[in-house]
Amino acid sequence: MTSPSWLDGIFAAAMVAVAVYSAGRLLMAHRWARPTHRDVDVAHILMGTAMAGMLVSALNPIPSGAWEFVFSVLAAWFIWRCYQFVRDPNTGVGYDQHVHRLSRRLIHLVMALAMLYMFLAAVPAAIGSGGSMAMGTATGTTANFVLLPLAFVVALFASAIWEVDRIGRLSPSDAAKEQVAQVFAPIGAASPTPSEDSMGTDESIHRGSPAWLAPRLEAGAHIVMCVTMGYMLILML
Amino acid sequence: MTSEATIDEGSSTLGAQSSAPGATDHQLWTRPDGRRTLQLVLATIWLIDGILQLQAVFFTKSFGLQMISGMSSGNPSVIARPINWSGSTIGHHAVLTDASFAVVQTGIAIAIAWRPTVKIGLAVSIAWAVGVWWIGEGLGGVLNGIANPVNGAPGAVMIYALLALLLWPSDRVGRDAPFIAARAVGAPIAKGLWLVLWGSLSYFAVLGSNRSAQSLHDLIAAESDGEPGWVAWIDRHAASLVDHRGLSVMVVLAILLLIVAFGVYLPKWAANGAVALGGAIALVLWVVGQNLGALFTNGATDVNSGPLLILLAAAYWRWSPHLNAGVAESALKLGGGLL
Repeated sequence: MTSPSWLDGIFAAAMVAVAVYSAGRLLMAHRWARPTHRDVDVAHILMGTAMAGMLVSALNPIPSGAWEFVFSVLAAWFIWRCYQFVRDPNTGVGYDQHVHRLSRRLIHLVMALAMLYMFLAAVPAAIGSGGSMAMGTATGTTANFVLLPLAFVVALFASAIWEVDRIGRLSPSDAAKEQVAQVFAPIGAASPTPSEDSMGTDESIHRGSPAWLAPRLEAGAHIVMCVTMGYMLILML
Repeated sequence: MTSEATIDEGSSTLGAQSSAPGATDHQLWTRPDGRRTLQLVLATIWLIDGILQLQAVFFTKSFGLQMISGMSSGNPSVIARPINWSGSTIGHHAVLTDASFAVVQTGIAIAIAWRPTVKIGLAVSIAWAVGVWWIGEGLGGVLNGIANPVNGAPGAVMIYALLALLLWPSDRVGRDAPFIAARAVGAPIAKGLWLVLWGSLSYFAVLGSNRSAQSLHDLIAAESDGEPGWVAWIDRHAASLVDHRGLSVMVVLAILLLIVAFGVYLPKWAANGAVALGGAIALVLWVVGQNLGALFTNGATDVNSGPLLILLAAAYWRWSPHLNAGVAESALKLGGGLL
């Protein structure tokens, strides 16, 4: 039994929107010299593109094997980022104090692992072959590991809910508005640019930099990503 | 679990420096207080329910015509007729109705999680739970004598409603309440609700056919259909363990549930013991009797009562005052103040 194609289409459209937004966010952050979690934005681009392709096969740009490699690398990256935090929790303390810095890394590690699970457990779909979702209920050996996707679902939905709770408190303050105004004035005139020595991660964020780029939109993209991924995992239980 | 001291609608600021540039006070990451944390867990469960509703089987006629209408069986006609009508309507408009159910439940989750609408979310969840208890669960088998706490009776949805009431964001007693559930309604009412809930579970455990020697075995064995191998293995072994021992197992369960029910009236350490026992029973029943909410059968509409009873137990846990003080102190030290 497969899910309705219109429903998969809606979720796929949401994923394309998140991927496009995250790409635009990266560009704007670079252009306006605004801090952002670049590794998270890159992760959202990759996950959004991959999930859109899983939901609507015609949107799948590359083979499943390539995605498995991509998400293995992404998972390794977030494991490294978690290790960095554990080793020194004060590393890069600065602008991203609107998020819990360890849980942000952990949840993206979970998301990368969940993507990996979906590609490993799903029946590979042909690139560009039209039709509905290339995934289905777990069968055979996969059925013995259904606790794993269930744990992913719980983590993802909890993250989405905590993000909704947090998003209401991310209204721009007067100070932040001033900084935004500075950025929009002569671009690059007075705003110090975050250093580029660590892939735009926390280490690149220093005091005196402009306000965080669109934190509520960032949180909104994360919520949509978590819900969509949870939906896909539930279909695989 | 966080302390509920210090807080107001509430959060404590931790791990942040208020002088940080670009992040104003209300933008700093903050940890929700105890009650807010439980509200968010409740919202997470509602979100799971909402997305579960998007499984393919619920977009088919069988959801309304078989699953919903089947709940009328054995109920008095005044209860059964609306169930049959609803089942027929849902069955003939499966896509529209199921999508609506998913939207409502997801909406409840978001409303509870979004602070300005938390009261609306909780209020709607109570109304929705009562409706689902009637139409979707046939009043949990209470009136037709088949309610059994082992498989989730008298219905998980009523616990959603109870949690919404107990986690209502108002302070009748204030933060001096002995446990989170007492904050909104006061300790006597909260304890009374706990007694009624767990006492009714105890009563249903030894109700009617639940006393027969084979009923528990048959109930557990029948639940293995459609489950993954390891869940079916648990069912088979649990069923053989209680084979011909149904009555004695249910009597022991009823006694334990009674201890839990009255335990909240005991001194703090004993009350916590009773609450922990309640949580442990809920966990065992969720795994063995409810097959983890039957989430792996592609036909689950909710997580069943186990996780909700555990969440309820957390709301009745009595926290140490020194723990509260410790959290407050660390919040002041690390956060430079509380919101």
